[in-house]
Amino acid sequence: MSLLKTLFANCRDVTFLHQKQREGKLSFAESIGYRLHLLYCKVCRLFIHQSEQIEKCVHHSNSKHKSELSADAKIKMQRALDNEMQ
Amino acid sequence: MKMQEDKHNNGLEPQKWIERYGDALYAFAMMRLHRMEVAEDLVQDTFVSAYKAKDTFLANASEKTWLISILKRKIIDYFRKKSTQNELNIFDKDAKDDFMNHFFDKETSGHWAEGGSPQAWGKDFETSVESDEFQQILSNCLGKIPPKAAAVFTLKNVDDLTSEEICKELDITPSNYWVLMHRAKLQLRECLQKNWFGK
Repeated sequence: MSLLKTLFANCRDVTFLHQKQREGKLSFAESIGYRLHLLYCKVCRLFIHQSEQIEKCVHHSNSKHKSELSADAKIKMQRALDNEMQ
Repeated sequence: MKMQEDKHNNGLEPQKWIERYGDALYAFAMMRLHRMEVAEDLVQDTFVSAYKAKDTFLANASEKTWLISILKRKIIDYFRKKSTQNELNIFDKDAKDDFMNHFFDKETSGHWAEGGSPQAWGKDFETSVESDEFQQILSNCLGKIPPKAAAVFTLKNVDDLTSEEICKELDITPSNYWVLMHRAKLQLRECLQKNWFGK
């Protein structure tokens, strides 16, 4: 990306750069372009806010996840394991 | 007799594995894969491989932790295989353009396209998160992300790996990593907007 294009980042660029920003990997020019764009772009600010909420929730739903094997799946697994144990 | 059997199995009790750990392993797999058949297959594989490798189990270690560590490896291998097989076309220029054009203007402007633009959510986030229905929709949406992009997103957000670790595990370049993450975020946010927040 040319320097000028980096400094004048568009919505596509900024949504791409968001992860780099989160991980502290923006170059100096990228970080200027990123921040400049967010100053005037409400939609990208919304995108970032929503994305960060989603990520936080994916992280926290960690402990909430209640998935149970169906009885059928258990029987199938038991059969496969029994086969192996013979 | 019992002691003999235990010794033979290196202190493990494989005949009780599925009852004891089946659900826990499945939940662990589902949290990362969000596809039932795949999760079931990998859990089954885990039990079978664990039995084959029972001699490598260290006495006094936790059976469950050991099984989870085998499952973890299987999940990474699944992601890895998926990424070498059919999904490299993500980086084809055409496929990339089709995907991006849905979200952003075709022209060089790169502004949000009309259909792909984020909208303010009509539902409260904190209350949503508490709802089982929302969790189900979230899981469905995660399951719809192409495996390679889902892998990157999951390893980052569920397993807290660094981007360097993820690139190494999946054998991808940093630039692939950013591209995949971008796609995962765009797709996941949109899916939740369509199926939950915008309803």
